[in-house]
Amino acid sequence: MAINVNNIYQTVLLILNKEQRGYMTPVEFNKIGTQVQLEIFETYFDSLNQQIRIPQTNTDYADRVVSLDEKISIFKRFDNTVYSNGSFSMPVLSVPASQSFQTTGNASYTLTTISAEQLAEQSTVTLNDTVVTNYSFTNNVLTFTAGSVPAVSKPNLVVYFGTNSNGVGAMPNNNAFQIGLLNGDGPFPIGYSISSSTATNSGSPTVSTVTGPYAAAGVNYNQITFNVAQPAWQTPSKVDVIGTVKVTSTGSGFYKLGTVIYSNNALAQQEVERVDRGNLFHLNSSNLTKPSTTYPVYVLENNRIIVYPQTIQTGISASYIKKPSDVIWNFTLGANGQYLYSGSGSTDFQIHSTEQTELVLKILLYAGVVVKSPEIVQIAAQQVQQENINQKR
Amino acid sequence: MSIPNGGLITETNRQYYAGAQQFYIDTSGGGKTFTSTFNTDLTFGSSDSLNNSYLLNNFKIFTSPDALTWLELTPTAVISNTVVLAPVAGLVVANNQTMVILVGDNKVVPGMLIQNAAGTTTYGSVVSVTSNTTFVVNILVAIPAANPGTSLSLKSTSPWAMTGNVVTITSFLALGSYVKIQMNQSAIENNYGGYEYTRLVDVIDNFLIAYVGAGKLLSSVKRSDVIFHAKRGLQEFSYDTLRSIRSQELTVNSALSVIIPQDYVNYTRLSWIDGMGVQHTIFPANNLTTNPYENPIQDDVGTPTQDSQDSNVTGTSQTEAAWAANNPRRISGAFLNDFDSANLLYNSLYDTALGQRYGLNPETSQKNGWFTINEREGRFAFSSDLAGKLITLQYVSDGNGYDLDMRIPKMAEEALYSHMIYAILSVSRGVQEYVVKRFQKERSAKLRNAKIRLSNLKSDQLIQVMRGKSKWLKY
Repeated sequence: MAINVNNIYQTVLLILNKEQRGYMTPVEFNKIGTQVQLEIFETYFDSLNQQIRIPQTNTDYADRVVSLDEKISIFKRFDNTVYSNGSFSMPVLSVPASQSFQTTGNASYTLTTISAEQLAEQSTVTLNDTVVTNYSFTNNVLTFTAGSVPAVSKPNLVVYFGTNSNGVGAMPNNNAFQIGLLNGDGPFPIGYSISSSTATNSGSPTVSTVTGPYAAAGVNYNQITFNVAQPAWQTPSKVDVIGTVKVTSTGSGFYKLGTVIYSNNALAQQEVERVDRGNLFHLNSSNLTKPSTTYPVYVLENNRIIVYPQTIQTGISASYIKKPSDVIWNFTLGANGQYLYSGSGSTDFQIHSTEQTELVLKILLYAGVVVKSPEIVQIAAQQVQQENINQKR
Repeated sequence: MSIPNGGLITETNRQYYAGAQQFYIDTSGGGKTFTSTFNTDLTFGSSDSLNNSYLLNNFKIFTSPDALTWLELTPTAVISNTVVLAPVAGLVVANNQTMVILVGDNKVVPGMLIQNAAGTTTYGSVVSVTSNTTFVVNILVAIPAANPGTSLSLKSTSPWAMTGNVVTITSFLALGSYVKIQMNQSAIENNYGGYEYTRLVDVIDNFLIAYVGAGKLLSSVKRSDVIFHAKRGLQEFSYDTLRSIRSQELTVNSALSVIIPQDYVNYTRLSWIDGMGVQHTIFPANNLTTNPYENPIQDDVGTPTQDSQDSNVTGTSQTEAAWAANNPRRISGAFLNDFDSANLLYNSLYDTALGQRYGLNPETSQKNGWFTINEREGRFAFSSDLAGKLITLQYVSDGNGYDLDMRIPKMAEEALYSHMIYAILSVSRGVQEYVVKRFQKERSAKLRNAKIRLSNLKSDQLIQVMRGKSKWLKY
């Protein structure tokens, strides 16, 4: 459904360059594309308001209300809210978006499944399941601050297990035992997990403490303590020591609040009615309309949903409209310094594919300003106006 | 059709008639949940029958190995208790420590209290179950080192709980066993005949679905407005359209009064009950007497006197005292040897003289006693001949007193919709007067229909009454 960002960029460039009018850089295109997408997106709500008051034809594809709803439906979501201190948050993702990386020893990791907007709204970063704070985000790139760069994961380490000081001997069955490493493979980073394809060990113990290295019989070994006890270990030839960075975000990209629903297990769900403070006072004053768990109401203040009666502290979810993500035409530089499209890291236009022509026209409108071509501006403006007239006639 | 299949009936025959819903346990374990689908919402106070909050429950939970023999699930039930061998080394006081027992026991579930075998000392509680031999426990009193074979008693103090019609049973349930939600008798009876009614919440939802929306006369209405007009409509209908179903059976005390019921709006009939259970209408005293609203004590020149707080000092009513002391027979002119029974074969010879006194006043010539409403004290007051009598008080409420009251007979449902749409349109801006009038007429017509329907005029009953029209002699 989405509109490919590269197609639009190429189309815009084609029209712009037809008579050598100028060139639009990817950075300019990204900013203008995002702006135009939001412009089109925001017209939906006013258009819907206009169309809903006009009798519609009940014919497939000709009902404008249905068409508009289809365009908006791309951004419709339904999620839970979080209660704290007497009020509920705006809806957050019920299933947080997450992305994991095995540590590479590098400071930066590029996120592809979580948008910059989501990260800006809420994010949690863990390193080996421990929450860390020493990082920053630049758009969708996670960068650990200097001095806290996670160590590289170590696959296929040849190890020796045993309780003896040189890493050999009887198999251990507790959480403190010796692991012998070939020269140069150690030491294990604390907090990293260990796994083996050949062992029958249970769970994925993480390294708790490391002492050593000690040298014996031509082998360097460390004394490792794990966080959980293990049953008797089998001798693996190789193990993977894994460091994992995990980024999660409950950011929903919330834009507009829809219907708020209260549900309490198997009891009938109730719509929570939106009122303002003045109404709330009068509703509370009347015995007939006082809010109850059967007929709850809410006040929207400071981006918080305050539900009455205040005994309701769980079970509030809401439908909402999500904001379109910023458009990104990502690129790499070619051998001659030219921009080469990179699908990885790019973000397509999310609005409905029927908007493609209007999208190109509106971008051209702004592009005409950028390249200082009144002719482009005039033609694009006329086309956009004609399209609007057709849509609302 | 005994199985609900998408119609308006959502309860099975067993749920409706026996108030029971049964579940089969297809995988053993604790912490299982069971969703009630009764029309009546479950209410929960406690699963411990010794806890006073247990009385708040409107249902009980039973378990059975065979669906034939049922045992109520309480803290004393067999599945809520188990005995394990104590760890020989004992356990020190600490939270979230591991307790390992030698012989596995599936009946150990989170929340169980750990006690000595006699149940006199509580050591702590089970936090979580790792396996049937290993548990995470919080120990508040150290478990002493014990000889092998010493027992510990584990007990669920809350073997089940309920939230939002979902029952969670923490106790271990064996594979192939059964669980039953059994409604209490009063809850079952409250549900009987419920199909005659539509709940007000459904009326409100139906109204919002069918009458409000884009392209309709009411394009947008606040739900609180709909709630208000629905409740007000129910109030109005309760006064003069719906059947009066509220009544209390009371005994008139020596003070000759009974308290006005909590949800009373107006009376429909007061009667005393004779030995045969037949009711005899008690009439209002009307102009015969009154209950003064205030009885200020006056000084010698007639001025009301005040107390130290500058309020009038009040005394007892002399009117009421005189009325209570009065023998109503002196007003009605009734004979002494009246019999308090409707038995027609139990009349005396003197009855032939009844009604023959010169100047008889029909308004006062009755022997069933009088009542007044004492607004000062919030009571019904009775004449002295009703002392000790069994009476019934039939009255109307406004349908908004309790959640259970908030329902409308289906016979009057359409009338309520009409009332609501008229009430909303009549206060909405920009609605043409002819539209308002149209709905006013519709409301009036549907209300009239509802009254006729609810008056229960049945042709065979009319015939039975009309058969007496040609009788010459009437009793």
